[in-house]
Amino acid sequence: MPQQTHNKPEIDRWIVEHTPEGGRVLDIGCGEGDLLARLVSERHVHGAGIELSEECVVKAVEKGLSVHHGNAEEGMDHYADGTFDLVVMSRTIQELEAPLRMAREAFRIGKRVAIVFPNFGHWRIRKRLALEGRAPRTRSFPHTWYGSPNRRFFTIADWEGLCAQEKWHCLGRAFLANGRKITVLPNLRAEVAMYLMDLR
Amino acid sequence: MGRSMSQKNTDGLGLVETRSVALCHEGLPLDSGETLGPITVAYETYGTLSEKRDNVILVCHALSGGAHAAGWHEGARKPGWWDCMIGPGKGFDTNKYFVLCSNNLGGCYGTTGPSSINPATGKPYGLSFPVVTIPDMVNLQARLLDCLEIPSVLTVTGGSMGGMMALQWGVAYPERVRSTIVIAASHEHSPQQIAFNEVARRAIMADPTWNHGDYYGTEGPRLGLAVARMVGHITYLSDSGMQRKFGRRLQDRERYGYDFSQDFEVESYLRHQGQSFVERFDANSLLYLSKALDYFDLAQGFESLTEAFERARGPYLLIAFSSDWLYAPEQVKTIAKAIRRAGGDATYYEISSDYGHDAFLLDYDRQAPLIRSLLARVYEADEGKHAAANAQ
Repeated sequence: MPQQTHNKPEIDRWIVEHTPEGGRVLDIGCGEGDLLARLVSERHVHGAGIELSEECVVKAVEKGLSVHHGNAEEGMDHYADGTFDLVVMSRTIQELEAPLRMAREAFRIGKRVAIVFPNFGHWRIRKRLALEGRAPRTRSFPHTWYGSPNRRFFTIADWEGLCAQEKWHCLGRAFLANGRKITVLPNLRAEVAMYLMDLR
Repeated sequence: MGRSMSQKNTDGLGLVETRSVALCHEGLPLDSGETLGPITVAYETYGTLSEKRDNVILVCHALSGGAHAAGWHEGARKPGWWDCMIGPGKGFDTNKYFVLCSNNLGGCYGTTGPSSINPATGKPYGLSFPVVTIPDMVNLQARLLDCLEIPSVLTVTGGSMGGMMALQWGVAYPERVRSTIVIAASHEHSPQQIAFNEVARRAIMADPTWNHGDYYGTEGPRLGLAVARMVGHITYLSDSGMQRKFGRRLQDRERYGYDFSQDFEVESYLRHQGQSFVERFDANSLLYLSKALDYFDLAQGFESLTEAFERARGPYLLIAFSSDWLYAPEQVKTIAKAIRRAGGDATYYEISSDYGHDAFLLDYDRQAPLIRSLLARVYEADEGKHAAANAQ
């Protein structure tokens, strides 16, 4: 699955900054393993990944990583409670069939969870739907409605609501648009939201 | 990597020879409670053993394989059974690593088995040969490593039965195994797998010329063994693969014969497979080896499979094939889960292929990159440790 590239350097940098040195990290939807390989070299973590695409798995293993070739559900089920210091879902959750169940799984196997998702509340998306009456296509939602890997379309406000409902505790969050941090009105202005959470 | 260099180094191993050594003069204690000895072990090696004796790859063969894994024997029409994977520049690169493969206990390619002469009687063992298990076979390989003064292996690997032996190695001798590569194998034989093996055994034992295993010096149970192999061969293919390879095409005829000669290509293929197997394999060995497979249960003696893997060390690479219904991806995933639940390091990789179980020998070019990466990772990590130790 081709990774979306928009805001990627800033997202990866934020995850690297929030990764504990020498910890165990699981990247769900690790793609070709670029982020994990970086965490291994810069944060000296023991990295593992889960990835659906056969081609991506080969490339990730060639980087010296351990990968589960399969879906998130079965991949996470393979691990015992609290196995990882950090579980990363970077722009993966919106592609999942059962995002809530998978997020709960991430909290089961990880002490901390980093979740990054594209914000469906961004003003360009609202404008396209409100004024043009068409399924939004933006830099963070670049796909056609019929070809999109995304199954779930939700906003920062939606996510905050779920966090409150599930009692997930936010350790840090940041919002991005065009590679820059957004602090004011993120649900309207941010393309991407990044959350670091635990269960407290 | 320069292209010219890789071309220069992929000429293959050329001529190789099988060697043999006599071991276990005091006897090898077996799972059955019996003791067997002395035991002759046939083995081959490829590549050069490093000075530190730390570049050894132990290759375990499948049911009908032998020590001749790669290269050519004088005058042979075919190279060793895994020649596509073992050699200079190949998946198991003999420019870097020292590859060892031995014929399994109970086999018929040079290692002591039911067709060998029992020194106590001067006659072939036949059914007086003790029943052996996968752990017994692995224990014998450990004796071979002792004899060759190899303290530990960089990796132990194999497909099918060889994969089960590799799994057994990691649990039985964790201190001697630095990584494990398991291809199209299972941690225990399922009822379906046992059922197919039982049909194969019955085919042999129902052949009157089998004569309770005492047929050496005669033609032996050729028909029974051929049918046993036909059954086995069906389990090595997939429905879609057979559809592609044979369809409903007829063999040497334009229309149905309305008789019991062979009509379909697939019938002709199976008969050919059965007949050529008879020329190269011992029926009693098939009985013993299939029984060893059926007895295999890696979790035996442990609370669970996960507990078994708590002993294991080093990374695992597990490879499955999408259309393999003999050792299906689900079984290989069960192994991955147990390793991970035990806190171990496992990569699981599923190759989409319609070759069925046979894909393990056919889809080698898609396995080789992962194997190469794992070996490099483990070997380089070891080198790093040596360097760190020397610096202190």
